Amino acid sequence: MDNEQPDVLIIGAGATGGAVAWSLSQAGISVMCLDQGDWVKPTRYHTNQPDWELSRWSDFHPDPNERNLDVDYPVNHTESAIAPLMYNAVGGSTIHWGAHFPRYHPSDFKVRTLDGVADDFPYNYEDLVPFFDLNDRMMGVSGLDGDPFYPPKSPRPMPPLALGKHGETIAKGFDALGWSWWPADAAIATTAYGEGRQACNYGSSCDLGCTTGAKASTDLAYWPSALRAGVVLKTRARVRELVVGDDDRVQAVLYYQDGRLHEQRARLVIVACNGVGTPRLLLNSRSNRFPDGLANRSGLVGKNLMYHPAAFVTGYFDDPLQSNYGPNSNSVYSHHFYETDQSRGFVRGYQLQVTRDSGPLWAAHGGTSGGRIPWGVDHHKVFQERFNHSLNVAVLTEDLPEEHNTITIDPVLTDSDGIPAPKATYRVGDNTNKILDHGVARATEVLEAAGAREVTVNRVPKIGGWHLMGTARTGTDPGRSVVDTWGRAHDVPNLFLVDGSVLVTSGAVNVTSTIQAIALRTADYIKRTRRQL
Amino acid sequence: MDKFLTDIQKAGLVDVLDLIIPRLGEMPGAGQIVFEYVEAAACGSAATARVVLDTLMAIEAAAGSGYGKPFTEIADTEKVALLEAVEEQRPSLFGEFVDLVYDGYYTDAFVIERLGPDAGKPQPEGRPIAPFDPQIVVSVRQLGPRYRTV
Repeated sequence: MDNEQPDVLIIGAGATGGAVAWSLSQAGISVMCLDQGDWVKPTRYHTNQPDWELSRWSDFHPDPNERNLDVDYPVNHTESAIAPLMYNAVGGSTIHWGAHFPRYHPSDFKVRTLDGVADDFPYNYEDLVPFFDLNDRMMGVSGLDGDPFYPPKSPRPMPPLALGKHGETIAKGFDALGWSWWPADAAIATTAYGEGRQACNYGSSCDLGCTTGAKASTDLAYWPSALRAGVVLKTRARVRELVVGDDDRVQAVLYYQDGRLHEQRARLVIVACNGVGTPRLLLNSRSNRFPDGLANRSGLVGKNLMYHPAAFVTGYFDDPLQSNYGPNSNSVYSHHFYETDQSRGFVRGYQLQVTRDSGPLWAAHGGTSGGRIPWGVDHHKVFQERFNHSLNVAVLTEDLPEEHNTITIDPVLTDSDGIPAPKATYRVGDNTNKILDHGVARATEVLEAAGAREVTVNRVPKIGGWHLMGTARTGTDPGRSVVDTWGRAHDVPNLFLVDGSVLVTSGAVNVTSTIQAIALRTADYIKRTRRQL
Repeated sequence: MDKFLTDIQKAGLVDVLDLIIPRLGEMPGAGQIVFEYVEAAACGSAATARVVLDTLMAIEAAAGSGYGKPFTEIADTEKVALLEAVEEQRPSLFGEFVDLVYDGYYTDAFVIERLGPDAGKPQPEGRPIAPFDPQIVVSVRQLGPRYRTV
């Protein structure tokens, strides 16, 4: 099919691009996918090498500006309180993510109705349940049935991860305060699963790549099956722009590969480049029909950027906690303060996500606390008190959409192909700051209840933009949204968006589960209506 | 880095490294462990070489103006105070230098061995951990559901 016109062309082979490619391919639809990155072989992961931790500050740095691989593009974040983080590869940011896998709550889809802020999604939690369940099976989710923070879910595909001394310690803190908590749903196998994926061996440091394949990334969970079904995946293919005709339909995609500019036509185009890359591509696709960027007649492409500002509250304990036994991002979590309580002085709420630590270098640099261990005569003493004695509670906040938080095109900066790079402009909102105040106080309380002798707070670290959302929101009103309820651009009938950019509001949970479910719902719509598209 | 560092600077670098992470019990000082790492890192990166050279020059300048002699010739107690002063004056530069020292120290096999098995590379062995005990959630289940219906 390489030189033919596929039914569907997907741009981006990450969390949602991989899921959509698989879904469409199962219906016999011809699919081609372009990704600027490449396959990452597990042999490139460093966690079985002596100097493994250095990769966190080099080729596995979460900030593409610092990582600076040839497949990366730069992001100007000098005017953003938070740096957007991502990984460019087949699998996208699931290569270096933590695989914490909560869903949006039912209330997250209706914040305008419930709390009078932002806007509602044009669909609800129940609409997504079949796609949540499908995605849970495909990604391979471990967890415990009976999660008190959600309506009953289908049985978890695998039993929960072990908590260890670390998780059991904070659980005692929650229990002492009478606060609900639960073992996290994780896209991490606890038994052999899927195609050659082994059970997690609790080696920690999932952010540096999983050598066992226990952690789900879409290069493992979706792409093998999609490729067998005939999907053509072109790597190191960096899209410059989408070209539209007088009928406002996308006619072709222009992309660079091997230093040359190529054109690829398709009947239908799906963009899955994340909440930064997608608006960048649309804003770079200017034409007479769309002088302000493709699909941007609402003026909302690139606006309402949301990140989930977080605070990392770290407790240090007298007893060793085996803090680096197990996946970094998955231990227990609490949504006890997730829903709106007007008496708190803010709307919406937050997740308390208990996370684990990594190796000695991570500890020396300060870990989640952000404060380097002091040099000098006390260095060894403080190191011994902290390494494997720490327990972090991350306060992950709802981030309400605000139009002044944006992705725009930087007037100067470009990637290595000369394509204009994005610029992020972002400040933390007033409501979010109030949520953070409340969350930090509660996280401190639970750490002290668990026995912490010292607690530190790292509030909204710059390296914290793990979740890129809102920059091409969904809705029924073309004047107030970019895509419709199915992810189809209001202005461009054969263009769909399926990544975090379509989120109307952010919830207060890690978003991959929800954006993959939304993407699979869009794929389902395309399959059902393909003859009319 | 040979062509950049004088013998005095090399001696000064070892001194500085041992003050950043001193020897204590079984734990070696950074002077013994990290010197070669810093040297290699500086040879491989102009930016890293700049951090090392600028830090050493800032230290020597402070020694000259404060004590009228090279850093290696002042008393140990005064060396610590001098480094603290440089850190206060050039926090970003000094912080980058300390990070570099930590990078070398905490990825060194000799150091890792002395820190114990929990400090070693996590794969392929993984970490031993007790399986999940369902009894731990009994009290949470009794609290009941906690989500907002729509």
